[in-house]
Amino acid sequence: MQPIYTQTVGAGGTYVVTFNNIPQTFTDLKLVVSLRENSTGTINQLFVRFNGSSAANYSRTTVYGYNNGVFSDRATNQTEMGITFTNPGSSTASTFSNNELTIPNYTSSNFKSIIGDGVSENNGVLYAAPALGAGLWANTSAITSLTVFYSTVVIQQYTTISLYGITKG
Amino acid sequence: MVWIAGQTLGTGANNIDFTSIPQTFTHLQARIFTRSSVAVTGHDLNMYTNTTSGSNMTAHLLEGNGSSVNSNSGYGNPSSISLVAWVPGASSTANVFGSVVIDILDYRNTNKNKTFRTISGYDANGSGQVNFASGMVMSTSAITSIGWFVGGGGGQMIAGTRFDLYGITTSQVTGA
Amino acid sequence: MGVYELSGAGSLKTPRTVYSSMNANNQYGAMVPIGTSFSTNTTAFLNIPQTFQDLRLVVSASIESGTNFPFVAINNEGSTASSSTRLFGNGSSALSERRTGDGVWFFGAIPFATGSTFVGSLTLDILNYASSTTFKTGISRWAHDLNGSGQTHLTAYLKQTTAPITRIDLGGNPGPFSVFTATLYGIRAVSS
Repeated sequence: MQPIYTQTVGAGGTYVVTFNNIPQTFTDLKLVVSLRENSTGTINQLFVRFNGSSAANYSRTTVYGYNNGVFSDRATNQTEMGITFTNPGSSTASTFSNNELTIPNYTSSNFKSIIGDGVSENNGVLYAAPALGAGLWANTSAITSLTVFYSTVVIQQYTTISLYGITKG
Repeated sequence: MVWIAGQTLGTGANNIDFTSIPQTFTHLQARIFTRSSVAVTGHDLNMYTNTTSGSNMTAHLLEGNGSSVNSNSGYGNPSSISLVAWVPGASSTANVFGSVVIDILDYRNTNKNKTFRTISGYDANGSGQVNFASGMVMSTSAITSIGWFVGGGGGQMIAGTRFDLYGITTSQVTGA
Repeated sequence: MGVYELSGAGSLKTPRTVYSSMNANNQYGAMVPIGTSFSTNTTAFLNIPQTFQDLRLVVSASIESGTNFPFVAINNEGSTASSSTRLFGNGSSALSERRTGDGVWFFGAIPFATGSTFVGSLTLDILNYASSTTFKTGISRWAHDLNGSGQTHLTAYLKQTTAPITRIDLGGNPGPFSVFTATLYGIRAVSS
């Protein structure tokens, strides 16, 4: 597993973190995310787009625990992939999520299947959500860029997002 | 991913500790293969770090036991330890060990509490459990040591237990 | 290094079994590709080196027609000594199941969708695969979303054999795979 790019969010935060020009020389990609955003009152998903596309061809199936309950849900025909959860501003201070997305065969001409494992932690039952997800990007293009973004909340300083390439050798 | 240290236990041990963890990586991954000596079918595996102090750890688990899925808050949040997995005990089918993979992000980042994510499970041919767990140490200090033990006292991780610690680096290239 | 008593939860006596000798300067990449395969029906990794600590399998699989139950077979033995415990979500319910008396490790006990462009993803970790004293266990993540159906699984497997793993076969029941990539990695060469 080889590190490709790492981005660390600076003071003031940001809405968008983008990885462009992803090398096409690996077999699989792995995205590792430690993220906190500034929303209040709820937990948010980790939102990702590939190749800058906002077409409604993202979907997911998730199973997760939250507030002492267990749930499974689904979203279809989305304009971005929301898979696993991140830490909102309402969660315990200085606490960031722990997410990993694995994208096998990212350069193939098939649709792209994503394995998402993520946790948001909190000192209490709210805002803590271990989640296992299956994602789909129904696009046959090779993945050349990846964007983590929010529209109305800010990704906080000290958030780190790292992209790794895994090679078949 | 770079191997830091590890060992196969020749005899049982109450605790496993990695100390003096190099402060040159960005993330850590622990891979544990273990079984408890206690006469139960499943036993709790708990984690602590050098930054564990009083009750400053949390845990939240998603558990599947073959018939139902449950949500588990460990020993209550906060606690002095974090429940990370369930592993087979002495009453489970012989020769069955549990597999545990723990990812700790930004372990030496002094701007963050330390959040870890664990995938674990064992099957014992008619029993067993899988877990997806989250945990946190509410401390922004760098982690320099990590340890694990089974149960609340007296139990051991038996001979044949294997544990490895890996360091994961990140790229200095932004690629933006 | 000694082994000492634990005095109580969260209250630890010293010394314990500690490993303070860290190889901080080891730059050897621990995850090494062993083999990659593309197949229309089955894929077999033969003569798996016994020189690693763990194995990791990463699969991207698709089915062209019909229902299919993809699986991993350990050592091609044909016995029914495999079993599994899983938790999964199907988009509406969180569920847990158990299987016993299997000959293989099923990725997911669900039908796979048709259409060669739809894929599912699997990661499978087998710790201590070369042991000759313990049964073989695996833990996997399987994910396939089909924009309106699909599931995500976390599964623990057991094969009741103490034999080291020397062969891994992948296949579908009843098959075939139309587009299928699988890469096997060794984690940590035991000589390092």
